[in-house]
Amino acid sequence: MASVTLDRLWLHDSANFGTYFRFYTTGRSDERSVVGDVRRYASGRLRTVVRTGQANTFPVTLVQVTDVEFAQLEAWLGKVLMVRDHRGRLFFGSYFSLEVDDYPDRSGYDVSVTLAQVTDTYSVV
Amino acid sequence: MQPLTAAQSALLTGGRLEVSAGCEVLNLALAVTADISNDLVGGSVTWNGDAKIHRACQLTMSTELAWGNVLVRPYMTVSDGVTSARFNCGVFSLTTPERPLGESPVTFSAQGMDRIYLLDREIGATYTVTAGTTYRAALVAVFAAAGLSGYLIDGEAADFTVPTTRTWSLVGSSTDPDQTSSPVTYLRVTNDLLSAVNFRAVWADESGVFRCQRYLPPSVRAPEHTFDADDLSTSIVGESRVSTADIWKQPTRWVFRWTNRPGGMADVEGDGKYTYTLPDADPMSAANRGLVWTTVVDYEAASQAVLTSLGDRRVANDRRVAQVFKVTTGPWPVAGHWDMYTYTDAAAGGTFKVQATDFEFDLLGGDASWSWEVVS
Repeated sequence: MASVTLDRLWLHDSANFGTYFRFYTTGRSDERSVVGDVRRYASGRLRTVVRTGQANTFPVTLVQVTDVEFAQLEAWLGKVLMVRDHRGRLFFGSYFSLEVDDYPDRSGYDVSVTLAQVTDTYSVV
Repeated sequence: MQPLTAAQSALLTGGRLEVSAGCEVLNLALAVTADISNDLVGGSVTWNGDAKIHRACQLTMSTELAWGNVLVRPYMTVSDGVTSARFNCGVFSLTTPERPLGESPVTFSAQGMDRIYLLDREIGATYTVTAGTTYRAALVAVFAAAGLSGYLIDGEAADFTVPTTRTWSLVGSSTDPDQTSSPVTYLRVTNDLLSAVNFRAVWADESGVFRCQRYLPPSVRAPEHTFDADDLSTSIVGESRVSTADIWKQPTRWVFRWTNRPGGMADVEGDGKYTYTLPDADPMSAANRGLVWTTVVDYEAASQAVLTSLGDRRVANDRRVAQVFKVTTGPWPVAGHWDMYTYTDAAAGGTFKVQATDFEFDLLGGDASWSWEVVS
């Protein structure tokens, strides 16, 4: 039986899915949050008020990034990308900064980004 | 206030409230043409009962509209995770869109005025309502002349006829800055007609429908909801609240004149004039204050009886020693036109019947801020 091994993170240009790069990663984590607070009212009552919509962010470090890949990552700053990961998950998201570690004793860079998920839809044809 | 079911009331005062907002685009006939909820970033709605155009909004959105040619209807959806309810928050013409440069995609910020804004247009001609026309027919004709549909007029407006032919003359704005003879708008004609039968000034409800309703004194209107600041289980009254009092230049004597009396104005009590003087026993009477403070007010009225009711309305308004509470509450998207509430607060001294005179609320769930005038 055929199987697929997903061992990397894929980033696709959402305007052109054929343009993509794949990266080995470390330090990947998830953060889920909603906007809300517990409000105090005159009687001393405490009450939760939240806004609809959950925000998901995914900090991740891309390792051994080549010069060509880094140039593309820089070009993608603030763009909406399609993201697939080693768990087979797929979402659309953006990042707004690149944190680069350049090691003199090996080739390539380690690049840390925080992917913020956006609401989007797609179809498979 | 928008009518609330018990379930909706429980939802708005419950222990957990989830809030989202949306926005529809409407045409002039109030038909929905698009939903731009996915482009609505946020916004707020304000209302002021004494303003000519009562309701206004500020919206932030990531789509460009045909500014000035479309109407928008923001709404709020509230949920406790099980049940949800949607409340329209008014219909607005967006008048001052701002577009920041250098941003992609562009986020627009726009101020909007409610549909009364569309009535506040110059007629551009002399406008006449002939004697014998019912006030309801006259109002319908004004809306038709303004090219606006979507109105509700209390049936009592058909019980009165215009006593003398009324003409609003064509006036240019540069010739006379005085408000009384400034260029005549559809709004001015509408409100003059409504006043003559002791109706409220026209207002637009949460769905954008023009409402022409008989004026009822706050003292006889029933509270629409109770805000109990002391109730630990349902209170949504904010911690910060302030009480202010306002006693300023209160008259001791009022004289009302009937300006459109058939046969002309007459200085005859009971037939062209109505006078009210505070009784000596009143703490604010001339006998107790040592001076007579008189105010003279002219009214167009359908009859001497209406003049008297308009005068009593004015006296009640002037006489109210205004005690106002500045309060905040949890999200309250159902706020409407001159809402009546019961307000209980031990720190304020007990239970009050209050009338909202202004409010502001955030579409995304921020607390609402209010001014509540004490009625009794």
